[in-house]
Amino acid sequence: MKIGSLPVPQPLELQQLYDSARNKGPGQTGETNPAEGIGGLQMAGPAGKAKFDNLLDSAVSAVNGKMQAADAEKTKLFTGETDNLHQAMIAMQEASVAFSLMVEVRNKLVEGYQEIMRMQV
Amino acid sequence: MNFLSGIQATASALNAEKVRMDVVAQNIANAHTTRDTDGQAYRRKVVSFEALLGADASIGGVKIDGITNDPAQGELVYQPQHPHANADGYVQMPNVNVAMEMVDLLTASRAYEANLAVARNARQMAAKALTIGR
Repeated sequence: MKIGSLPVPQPLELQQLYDSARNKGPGQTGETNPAEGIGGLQMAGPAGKAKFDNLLDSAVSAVNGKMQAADAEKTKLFTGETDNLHQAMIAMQEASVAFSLMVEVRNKLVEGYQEIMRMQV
Repeated sequence: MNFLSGIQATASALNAEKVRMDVVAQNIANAHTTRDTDGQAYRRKVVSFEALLGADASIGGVKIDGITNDPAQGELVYQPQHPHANADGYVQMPNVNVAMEMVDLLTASRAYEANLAVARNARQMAAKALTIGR
C-alpha cells in the first residue's frame, strides 16, 4: 500500500484566515506580540507553512515506510526466507499503530478546519 | 518515529526463546542417539543467553551467548547385540533426560508467552494513547 503518493491537502484557507485575522486588528487588542505566540510557541508565519507541510510529508512517509517494512517481513515469511513469525507480526502491529496515529492527526486537522468554516462572520 | 518503544527487546527475547525451543527439540529428537558426529554418544545441548545493551547503554534486549554441550555423563546400558556396544557389551547412552527437556520446553513456552504479553500491552498502550481527548 502506497500512501506517500497521495496528495497532501494544502491548508491554504486556514493560512489565509490566519493572516487576515492577524492583519485586521493589531492596534485594538495588543495583548500578545504575534511573534511570541501563545505559551512560548512560535506561531507559524508564512515561512512556517512550508515547514508544516514538510512535517506532515515526513510523517506520512514514515508511516509508509513502516507499512513497506511490514510488507517486506510478510513477503520474507511467505517465501520461506525467514521463519520469524513474531517479527512479521510486530512489524504489522507497528504499521497499524502508525497508521492509526496518522488518521487521528488527519481527523484533528479536518475538525479544526470545519470548526473555522462554521464560524459566524 | 518509534511508537512501540521497547518492542525490539521483546522481539529479541522472542527470538531467543524460539532458539531455546529448537534446542529442546534437538535434544528430544536425539534422546536415543548413540552416535554423534564425533563418534561419541549424543550430548544434550544447552543454550545460554546474554543481555544486549543498546547503543547508549539503554534497552537492547537479549542475544544467544552460545549453544554448548552438557558435559554430564550418560548412563551405560548392557546391550551386547547393539552395533555401538563396546567390548564389554555396554552402550553409552546420551545424557538426555526427557522429563528435564519437557521442563525446559514449558519454561521456553511460558517465557515466550510473557514476552507476547509485553508486546500486546505495548500495542494496547499506544492504542489507548490515541484515544486521549475522545
